[in-house]
Amino acid sequence: MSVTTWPRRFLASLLAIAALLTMVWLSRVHWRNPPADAAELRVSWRIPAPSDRRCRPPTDAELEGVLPHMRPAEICTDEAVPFRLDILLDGDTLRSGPVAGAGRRARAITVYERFAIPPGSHGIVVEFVPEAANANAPGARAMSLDASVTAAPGDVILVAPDDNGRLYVSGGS
Amino acid sequence: MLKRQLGRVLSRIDGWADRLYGSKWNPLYQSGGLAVLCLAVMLVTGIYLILFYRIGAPYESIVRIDGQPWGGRWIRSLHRYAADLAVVAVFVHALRMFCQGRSWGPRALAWVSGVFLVFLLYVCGLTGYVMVWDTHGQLLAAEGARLLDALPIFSEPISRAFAGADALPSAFFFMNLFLHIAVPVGIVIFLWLHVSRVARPVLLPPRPLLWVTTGLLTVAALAVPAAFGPPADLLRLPGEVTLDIFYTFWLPWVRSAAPGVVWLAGVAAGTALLAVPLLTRPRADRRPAPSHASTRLCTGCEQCYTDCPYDAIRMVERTDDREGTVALVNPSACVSCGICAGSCAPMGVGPPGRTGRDQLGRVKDFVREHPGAGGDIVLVGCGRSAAGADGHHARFLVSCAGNLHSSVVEYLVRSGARGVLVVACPARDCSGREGPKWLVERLFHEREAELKARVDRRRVRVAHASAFDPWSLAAALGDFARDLARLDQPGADDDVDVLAECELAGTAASQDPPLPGTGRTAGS
Ligand code: HEM
Ligand code: SF4
Ligand code: SF4
Repeated sequence: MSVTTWPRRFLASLLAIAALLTMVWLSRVHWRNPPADAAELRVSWRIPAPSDRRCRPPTDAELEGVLPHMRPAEICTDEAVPFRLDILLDGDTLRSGPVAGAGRRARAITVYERFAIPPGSHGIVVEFVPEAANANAPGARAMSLDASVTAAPGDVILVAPDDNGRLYVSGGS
Repeated sequence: MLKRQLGRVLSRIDGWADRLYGSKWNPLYQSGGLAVLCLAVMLVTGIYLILFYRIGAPYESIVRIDGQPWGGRWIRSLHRYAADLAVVAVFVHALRMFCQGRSWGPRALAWVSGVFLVFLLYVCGLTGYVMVWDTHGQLLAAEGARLLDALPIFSEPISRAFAGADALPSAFFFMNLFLHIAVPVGIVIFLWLHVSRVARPVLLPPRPLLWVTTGLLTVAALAVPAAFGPPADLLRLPGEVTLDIFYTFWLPWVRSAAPGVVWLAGVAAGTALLAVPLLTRPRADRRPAPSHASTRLCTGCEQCYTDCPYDAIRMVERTDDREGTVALVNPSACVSCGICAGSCAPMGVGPPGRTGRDQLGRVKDFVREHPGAGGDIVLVGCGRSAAGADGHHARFLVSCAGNLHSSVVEYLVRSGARGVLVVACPARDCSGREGPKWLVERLFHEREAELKARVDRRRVRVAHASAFDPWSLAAALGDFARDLARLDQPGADDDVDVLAECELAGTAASQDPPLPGTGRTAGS
């Protein structure tokens, strides 16, 4: 049936406009991203992975069949140095445990941790230390931070190293 | 079950929309074309916007675009609203296909490529929102990174890029922009695949609807410019976010859900959508059989080959002792719409039980069983149309108006039916795509297999009415009955100017070939 009468035309136009307005309205719905009064603590860095190189003279069995000019003076293994990361907020442990680069000979260690924290003043302690067994490997440097911050709702408190490898806090007040 | 329930709701809405807009302009029937129109509007407006977008200062460039009240602002808003309407149109389109059972067999390719089209449309929309780089864009990027980090793809968490320790590299915005521009190329390729199995795909809505839609979107863009939120700040949690429900309705849920659950839900939804062709395929014993062409009866006229809406018929050289070609149906491309049966003058092609010959056999029984129908109007038509729902008149139903062989109409008129009202679905809602179009051509415009000239056209009329549109059917019946009453008055034939009648039908045909209004061109 075709649109012949004016009331019907009017109604048809009204419906089209209402549908359009509904679409426009649905494309701009305000949403308060919950939780409304939360803050976030982020701990983030990426450092070259120090490796622990151990060398020993080759055994006779290893030299057997190898041409004299191809014989190595020593055989070395490189192992990524595992670290330990502890994060404490107001004395409570948020995270505690080892961190290692991906794979046995990782080139980098990446740390990226996020925690929802209540707004307000907080004491933050971050310890990033090489595991005791490899503590003396070259490049295996510890990083630590002990700071007080005040986070407003919606603030992100970021703990990251500066160019000299020292941890600092940004965000909040 | 779900399909039937949804289908009933949709048909009721169709009925009301037909009443308001007329079946020819009912936007619900044009959803696929409207989606293509929206994509075209997005493409044109996008080309303008890209001239002003800067990956080095994304938010600032959006602010700058928004600061051009007579250029950028409304073009950007038009881009946005066209993208929103595209989602609505695609959703309606897919739902219609599902409810009409057009999702399995030879249509599986269209269905599956449709699912990929939705995916690409969303990738395009989401990268578009990240481009703005307001709080909404920031949240989308951060959530996207969080979800990707849950997969064993990257050796390091990519979320760290959004930690706020360093400024985001412009490579990120470049990648995002690249995706936003490259994905539409994928959309075009998939769209080609999507319609590759249909003959003469209708890619755009009729002109008036095309311009009204573009006009309305433009008015909305001018009157209510698209919103955007405060700039992204990686060292602040995005608090107040302006969501676009069409693209980011899922964000509040995903924000609080574990990545594994989100992936599981996404994969489950994707798999379910991709499995629809299998899930909706009728049992083997209920599946309509494909068409078959009889080499004995086929004269090689090529009409079924031309008319098949799914390009399922080829003409091949004859292998018997006769010269010329013969029709050959490709069963894996045939959807069993039955439209070829209406094309064939010698009645040599069609799905089993629905060829012209089968219909003639049935109509003879019908006339025998309805001896009183002679003095009344006989409804003939598609079982899915309002004819299928009518309980007041003698009715002869076929699987599609395009399946109807014109000789059935001739038989009824010659058997003494006062009038034959052929009821078809609205032209753009035919589940066989082109049934109503070919029907009108065959009955009134000499298309093979045409209604023979000896049949009094004034006693034949076509009406377009969907299952839940009894109003159009009642109006068409009322008009037809009135005209027939005039015709049946003694001496009425003398009043009829046959030349004017033919002219009227001819003019109407040239303006509006597929739809002769509610049938007036045909017999009034
Ligand atoms: C960007 C998105 C889409 C666009 C632009 C689009 C457009 C179209 C167009 C123009 C046609 C041809 C209509 C005709 O001439 O009869 C079509 C057919 C079809 N579409 Fe889509 N479509 C889209 C998405 C979808 C989706 C998401 C689905 C379902 C999951 C779908 C399912 C189908 C089916 C099954 C057909 C074939 C109908 C038939 O063969 O009878 N489409 N589409
Ligand atoms: S319409 Fe009939 S006669 Fe013509 S090619 Fe097809 S099957 Fe053969
Ligand atoms: S039934 Fe006939 S017209 Fe329909 S798809 Fe099959 S071959 Fe084509």
